[in-house]
Amino acid sequence: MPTSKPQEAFDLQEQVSVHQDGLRRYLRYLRCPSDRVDDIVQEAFLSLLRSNERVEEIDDLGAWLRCAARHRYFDGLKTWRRGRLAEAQELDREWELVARDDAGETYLVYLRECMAELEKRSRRALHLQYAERRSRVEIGGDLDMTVAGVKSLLSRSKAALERCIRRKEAS
Amino acid sequence: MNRSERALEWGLEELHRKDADNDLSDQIFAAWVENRSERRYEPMNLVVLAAGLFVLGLVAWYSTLSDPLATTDSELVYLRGEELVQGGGTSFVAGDVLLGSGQEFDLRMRDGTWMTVEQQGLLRLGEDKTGIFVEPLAGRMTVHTEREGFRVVSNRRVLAVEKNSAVQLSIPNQETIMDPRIARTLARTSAALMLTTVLTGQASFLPEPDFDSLPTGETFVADVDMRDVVGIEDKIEALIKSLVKGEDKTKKKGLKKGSKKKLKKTGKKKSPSSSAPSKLLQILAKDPEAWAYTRTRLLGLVSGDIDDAARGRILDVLVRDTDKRSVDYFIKQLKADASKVSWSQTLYLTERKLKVAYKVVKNRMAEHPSPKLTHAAAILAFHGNDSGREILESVGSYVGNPKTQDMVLAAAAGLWALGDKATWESVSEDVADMVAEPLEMRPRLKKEGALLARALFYAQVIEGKSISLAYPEQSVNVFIKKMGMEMKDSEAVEKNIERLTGGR
Repeated sequence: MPTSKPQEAFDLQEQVSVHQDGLRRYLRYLRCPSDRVDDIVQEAFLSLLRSNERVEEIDDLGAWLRCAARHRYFDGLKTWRRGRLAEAQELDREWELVARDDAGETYLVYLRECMAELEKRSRRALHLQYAERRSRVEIGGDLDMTVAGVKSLLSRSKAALERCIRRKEAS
Repeated sequence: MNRSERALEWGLEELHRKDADNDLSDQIFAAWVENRSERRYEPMNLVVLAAGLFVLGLVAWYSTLSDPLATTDSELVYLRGEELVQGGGTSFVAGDVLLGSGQEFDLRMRDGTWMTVEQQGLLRLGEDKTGIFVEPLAGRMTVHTEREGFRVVSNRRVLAVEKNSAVQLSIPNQETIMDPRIARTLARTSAALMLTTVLTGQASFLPEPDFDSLPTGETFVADVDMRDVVGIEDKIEALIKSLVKGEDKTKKKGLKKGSKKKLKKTGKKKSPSSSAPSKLLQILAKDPEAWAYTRTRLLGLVSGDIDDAARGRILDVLVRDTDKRSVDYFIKQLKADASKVSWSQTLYLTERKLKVAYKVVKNRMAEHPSPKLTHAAAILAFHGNDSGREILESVGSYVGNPKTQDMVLAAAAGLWALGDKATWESVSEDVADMVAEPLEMRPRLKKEGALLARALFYAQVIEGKSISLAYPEQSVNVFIKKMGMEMKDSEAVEKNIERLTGGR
């Protein structure tokens, strides 16, 4: 039996559309397994529904939902993967720096811009690795490179992206 | 890896995500959210709602008067007592859980009429005193029918539906039934669901048994028409009671008495190894209507509130319903539409057909990899052919892709069940990492593995001696011990294990 009275007044659909993606990004940053991400996001919204706090009285709803999701995720880790709890807590502390106050949107915009500045072959290699989930051997086959060459290319591309993002953040 | 590198890895993953957030669970949650929003009635809507309810009330009152079977239990669509419905050429029975996302399928009633169901989420075929019904578990469904007068029980009102009209149903009690935690558990963990269908016998696409080809075993029963003996319904009820309570009442009373009566007439011998349930089932094999009734009753019971021992006994009976023709059906279906492959159907594969199945599954996996096919591969691998194992190993290439995580887990469970840690480790480092953890530390994997173990166990039982003896290293006992399972099944099943494994 629910212990708290569910809220009916606020528009859940709107809140889900506003906060869902950010919440997912946050959990993925904490390296939450993808199957758990969906569960925890939904749990967070259910917590909100069943909370006694009025939505309009919550200053930062995104933070409130992140807090609910964090508790849920950490509780799970304590039960079945205690070894990863410290890492998740560390990543949680980092999140504020990476995501700032827009759930990482700015960072992703910078990254997208930096990707556009990369050479075509570097972009292709990153696409094959992250979008197509290809192995280095397969990427090498596609780009006509050795495995060591692919490793080096990916490494250089990522380093370039890091520099580019730092530059944009500084400016 | 420092913070900057971690952030970049995360960013690259985010930028390259492909619809990973648009799975069925997500859609169900979205439907649930949308449904909640729709329930926020505006003043104008309230007027319309009140007027609508008044009209519905009148219709309901009239329908209740004209329909003595009207019930007001919950929100259900009744199919008026059919024991079996078909959709898209496939048979469904009570207890089947059907998954769908915005899909439409037709259910053909036994009277030849059709009902079209637009499905968004989960629905289940259930059964009560009035017959089979369709019940939305999560999401929503819209029902169109060409048939007059089928009944929709909705919000404690009974509505008579006009010909060719459409009715939309949603979940009656969102806080309980449509809780997305329940929905997603059923929906997203397709692996567990499919395994559960095997475990419970409630296969979503289980074909109707081919009664003509059912093995009759002892020939004397072929001559027995139970309806000529005494009340088959009583015997079925006795069988069901005996299965639930664990007492073989049919052996003491009903069946033995009836069988003896016929035995005297035919002069044929009774096999000493046969048990009462199997004899009754063989008799029922000659009476499709009686068997359909029995099977539906058993399927209804098996998912209900009964203890594990009773469930085991019922499953033991149900798996004897071996349909040899379904092998061809399975392969045909596999070739036609991989998405409709029922893992449970692989349980019915004969050795001769396995080679064809390996090839088909392998080709299908290359085209459209899916958890269901992975399960099929797991079963095939358990049958001992390297092709099945190769398919499982190939799943390693999907590690890291969120959309194929269930496939990887299914393969993980399959490979673990095969007892081959070396294979695990060769699949990929990530999977090896998963398997390296004790199963107890991964509740989900343990659950799937345990379900798989049970399913494979039944596969062994019904596939018979040859397979087991051909691959003794995969004996059921070894495997069940590996899974840490507790055997709570009936004595008959235990004997089967002993027989299959040669007492090892």
